[in-house]
Amino acid sequence: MNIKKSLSIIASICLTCILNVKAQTNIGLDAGITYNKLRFKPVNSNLTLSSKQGYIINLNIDHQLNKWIAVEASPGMLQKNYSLKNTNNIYQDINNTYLQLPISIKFERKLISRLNLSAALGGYYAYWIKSTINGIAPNVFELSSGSEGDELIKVEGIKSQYPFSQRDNRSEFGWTAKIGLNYRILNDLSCSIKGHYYRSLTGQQKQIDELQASRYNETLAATIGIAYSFK
Amino acid sequence: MLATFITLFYSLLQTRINKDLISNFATKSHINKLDFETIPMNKKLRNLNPVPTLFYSIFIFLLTTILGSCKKDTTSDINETRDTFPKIFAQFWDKMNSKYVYWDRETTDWNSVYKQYKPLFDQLSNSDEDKRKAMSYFTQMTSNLIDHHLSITFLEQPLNGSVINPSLARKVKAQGYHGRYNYDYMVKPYLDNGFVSGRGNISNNGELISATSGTINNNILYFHCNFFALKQSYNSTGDNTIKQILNYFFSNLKKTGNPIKGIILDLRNNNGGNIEDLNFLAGKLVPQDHIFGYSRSKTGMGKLDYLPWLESSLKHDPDYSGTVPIMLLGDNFSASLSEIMIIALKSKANLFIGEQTYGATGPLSDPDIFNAGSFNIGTFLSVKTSSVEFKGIDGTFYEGIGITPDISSPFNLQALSAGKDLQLETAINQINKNEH
Repeated sequence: MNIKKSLSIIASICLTCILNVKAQTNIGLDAGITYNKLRFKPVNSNLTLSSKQGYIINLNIDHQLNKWIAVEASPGMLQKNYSLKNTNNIYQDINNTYLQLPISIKFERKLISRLNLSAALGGYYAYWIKSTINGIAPNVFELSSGSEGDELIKVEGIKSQYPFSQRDNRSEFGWTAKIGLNYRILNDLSCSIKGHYYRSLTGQQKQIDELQASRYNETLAATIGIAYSFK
Repeated sequence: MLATFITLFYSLLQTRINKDLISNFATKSHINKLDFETIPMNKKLRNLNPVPTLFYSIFIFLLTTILGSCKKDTTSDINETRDTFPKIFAQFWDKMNSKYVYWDRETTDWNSVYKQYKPLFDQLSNSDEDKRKAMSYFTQMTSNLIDHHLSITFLEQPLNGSVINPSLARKVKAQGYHGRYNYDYMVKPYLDNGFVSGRGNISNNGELISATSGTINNNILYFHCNFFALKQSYNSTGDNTIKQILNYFFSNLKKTGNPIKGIILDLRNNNGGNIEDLNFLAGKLVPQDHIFGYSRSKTGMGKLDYLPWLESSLKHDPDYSGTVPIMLLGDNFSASLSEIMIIALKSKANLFIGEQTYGATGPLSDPDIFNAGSFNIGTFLSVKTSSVEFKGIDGTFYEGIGITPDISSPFNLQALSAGKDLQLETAINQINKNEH
């Protein structure tokens, strides 16, 4: 599936949701940071994977089914980044950008006047649109002598876009959970703070090789947002 | 969910260590990392006060049920210390899959190799006969791999010391193959009186480094060494014949009112060596820095996970003018750094004369730095393979192919037996022709 197709699907869903505004529908915008971990065990035992921050921005459209339960769609863009580092401290930051559409059932409960607590559970589809690699790499032809006459290999800064191949699984499916606090500023305007959790159930690469270990994204996000209520 | 939420805020409180601290050198660079799992999830869940409502109970029940049924990672859980043949095979196959650098260019289907040979290794016991069978399987599995540095050395009895060298095995079977030839004695009669020749104290595969330098007709400067450990030899203490030979060569390069009209760099029967010799020797022969190709290693994540291509450049030594034309002599056994030196020095004025070279252009280096290259499988075998993939400035891959000479001059045993080095003579004639 190409980017245009993904964008058009997400746009259609947003539009459908907006046009079907009946009863109470809230439309809002959330933005914040992500913190992703790639669940993968490399064959190379000298390599360490670590989690890395990124950003998230998404629309938030929820449609109340009753006083406490709503259906929520949150199309948007987010990063699922991670870092690699070997025992010689040569590292690369892998920045992966996805278009994502989570759909959840949201439960909401009033805590005190104007303040609601919400929790949501659902599934998501994401499309991997871009991957870049930044960091350092050793150059075998760039040498210098150490203080004890030993040979040192110089490293160079690298920054390049990853060329996707047939091996990459650019479509990702998974489940999601969300928890948030909403504060009603005005009758039809509220702000929120939310914590999100996304766990992929499909690997980043197709299972092509024998003994191939799968790579799964596990992403936390914290966002702040604002929403407008249509009644 | 609550635990993951807490983990999120905990992680956000942490800041990454300033990357400016990272040095430019691999052996000195360092970076701190965040650890996603620093807060045990179950422990934090126990510390939270549950909210006594049906709503939260249902939500937490649903979440923990799903969390509990999370899909387990599929990983190749291969223990380093296993020594049965099925495990040795699995480790070998997996490490080759991850650490071999030429999978983007290979014609060997490594997955088919797994399917074909796994059942065969599953049948092997630890008997001497089965060890020999294992060696024959390893030979077959790797017979068409293009890495010309690839070799497998067996470390256990009765195979102890046996070596599989797929590229050499193919060359021996090829039409027109000839064995190694030591041109040293053949060249000396062409050199003017006063040439210098001798051995150093550094050895490679049991052979001591040797070098020869002299002039031909008082206006052509000749240099040969049997492998590259020149800078190391130059800087070593004690009886230092190689330093004297290099000083002779370097001083002739630098002479004022230089009568030298051409240089012959004889790389025949030289199978490479220390990469630092590229700039140490060839850097004195060029007038300026220049890029001659690109190299790349791997991220370490998998079979086709590469780092970006980096420029490979030759650094000019400013103490030398580097304007004299060079004739580069090479043969079927000019390999590795010798080939890189030919690629780096070849130009319109600098011609390569002789035979197609060996085709081992991907340097060997520290696999822990490059996330690729040589590895051991327990105490059973040791694999030597390139850590880096190399291509020329125009994108040409030489691995497994070699460099084609500008002027072909095949190996001629008959002429050599008659005391005539036709390749050397072609180089001399070419320099003389250039002068006129």
